[in-house]
Parts: sequence; structure tokens; C-alpha cells
Amino acid sequence: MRGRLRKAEQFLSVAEGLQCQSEEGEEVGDALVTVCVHAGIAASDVLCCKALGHYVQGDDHQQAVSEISKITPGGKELGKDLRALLQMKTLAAYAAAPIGAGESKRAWRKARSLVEAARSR
Amino acid sequence: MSSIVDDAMDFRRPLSVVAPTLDGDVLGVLAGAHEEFTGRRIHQVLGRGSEAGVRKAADRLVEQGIVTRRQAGQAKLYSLNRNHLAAGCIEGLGSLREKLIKKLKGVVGKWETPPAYMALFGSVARGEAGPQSDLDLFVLRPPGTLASNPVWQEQLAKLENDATVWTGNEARIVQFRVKDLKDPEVRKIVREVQREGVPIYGDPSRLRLPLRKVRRTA
Repeated sequence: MRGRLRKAEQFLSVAEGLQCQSEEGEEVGDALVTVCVHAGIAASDVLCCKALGHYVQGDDHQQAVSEISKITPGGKELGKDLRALLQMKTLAAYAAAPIGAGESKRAWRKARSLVEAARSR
Repeated sequence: MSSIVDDAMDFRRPLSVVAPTLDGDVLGVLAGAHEEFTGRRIHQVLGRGSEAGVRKAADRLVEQGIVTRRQAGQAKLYSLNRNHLAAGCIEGLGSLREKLIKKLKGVVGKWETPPAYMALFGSVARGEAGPQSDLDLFVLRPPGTLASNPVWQEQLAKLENDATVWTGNEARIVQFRVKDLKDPEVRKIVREVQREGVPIYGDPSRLRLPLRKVRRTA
């Protein structure tokens, strides 16, 4: 799982750079949310492996949220963070309207809390 | 400098505070999730001991009533008995790191002179700290406050002392001024804090260097 954690950190590091650009007024919300989603999913895999001994493979997002929510303490909050990120995924990747700075900052915070939990558990 | 307490906490095995055995480790895994585990899965999560040893420890805990066991086909499924009177205490011991972070946030949030930013970093932040590990705190001094300011000094000294007593791990505070952030040597620590630090006070964006203005040429 170390490789997965390194990927989560790599995505988060890119997100940090994009967040700086966003604060400078550049329109990077969709790219920022997309890397935050990748960071959040990788972090969730690490968390599930560390606490439950397995993780959800494939695209069953509901199952992934349900598994991470079993973790104590803090599983419910982590599940909410992952769910919120997954809901933003489709909008960022496929919708025509750009994602705003407020929403992308929310994604960055959620990804950060998932990666932080994955790192320290 | 010798520590003010002799024995320290192993953040990788928080239940070892009261149960430094495989039984304590098994309880730690079961307390870590609302889930039923086979003996193999407990062993997999734990990453130590033998699978047979883990099963024996789980069975001993079943005898004491703190763990429940359910037969599902060939498999025995173990879970923490969350209705047991001791379950709350065990869950509490399993989340000592989270308690430490909450306590640090609570204390620093009430400081008369708050820092510009504070984060926990190092092995405790990574969840890798053993009994020999220090508890590392990164502090960014607010602009306009001198290091010699008695209120500031008293706050830091008290926090170092209190955090050491809370965990047994010696607390070490490294403090910098905002203008130190440009120093290449300080940047090395800052990068570590940015990568793995747990924010205690303030926004991590305080650690960023201001972007250089680029003059556009026609």
C-alpha cells in the first residue's frame, strides 16, 4: 500500500499547486477537482487496507464509501469526504460548466483530510 | 536532556499502554472498524505475530466477552463486542493519537498570543511513532512577536511540558519567523511539514512563499 499512498501524496501535491493558481484567479477548478478525486480514492484504498485488510476494487463508489465508513474513529466523516469527492468527479470531468473556486477548494480540503488520515493511521 | 517521564507511548500500538501483548494488538484491530474479521484478516491488518497466535488471542478475548465470534460456514468471524462495558475504554485507547491532536488544538486555540501557524509533524504525525520517538511541533511565530516575549515563551514552555506528560514522548518545538520561510534550510523542514504535517492552528497556506510577480513583456 506504500505505492498507493505515494500516489495519493503525489496527486495532493499537484492539487496544492493548482490551489495556489486558483487563489491567483486562474480557472483551474476542473483540473483541481479531478486530481483531488484521484488523491481521495487512493487515500481511501490505503485507509481500508490498513483498517479492514482489503479495499474495494473497481468502480463501485457506494461500496467504497460504505467500507471506509466502517473505520473507527472518524469513518463516518471520511465516508462523507469521499462521497462528496466522488459526486464532484463527473461534474469536473464531463460537465460543460466550469467548477468554481469555492467548490474546488472544498474538494482540496476533503482530499487533504483523506490523505492525512491515510498517512497517519 | 532527559525526559520528564520514563515511559512513552507507542502510537503504532496504542493499546499497549495497558495491554502490551498480542491480545492488546488484536483488540486494537477489532476496535479500528465496525466490521467482522476472520483470524487471517486480523493477522493481515496487524502484520505481526503468527496467524495461529492471533486466532488464539482472539479466542481468549471471546472467553472474556469483549470479543464476539460468529461461525459463517468454515470461517470464524470476530468483532469487538461494542455492548461490553469495557468497549468504550478500548475504543478510546485505540484513538489516542486523535485525542492528542484534539487536545493540542484545544490548548493552542486558547493562547493569548496565538501562532501564525502550528502543525504536528514527524513520526507522530505519520502514525509511526514508537516509545523512543519525539513529539515534533512546528510553530510559525506571528509577525510582531519577539521570541523573547514572556507570554510567548511561557506558552511554548508549558505546551512542551504538558504534551510530554500527556504521552510520555518528549515534545520538541521548532519555531520560525514568517521571514525565515525563505531560508533554504528552513524550506526543507517546511516541505516536510507541508507533506505530512497535521495542522493544529491556522491555515497551511501560511507556509507558502509569496508568488514572484512576473513582468509581462509585449
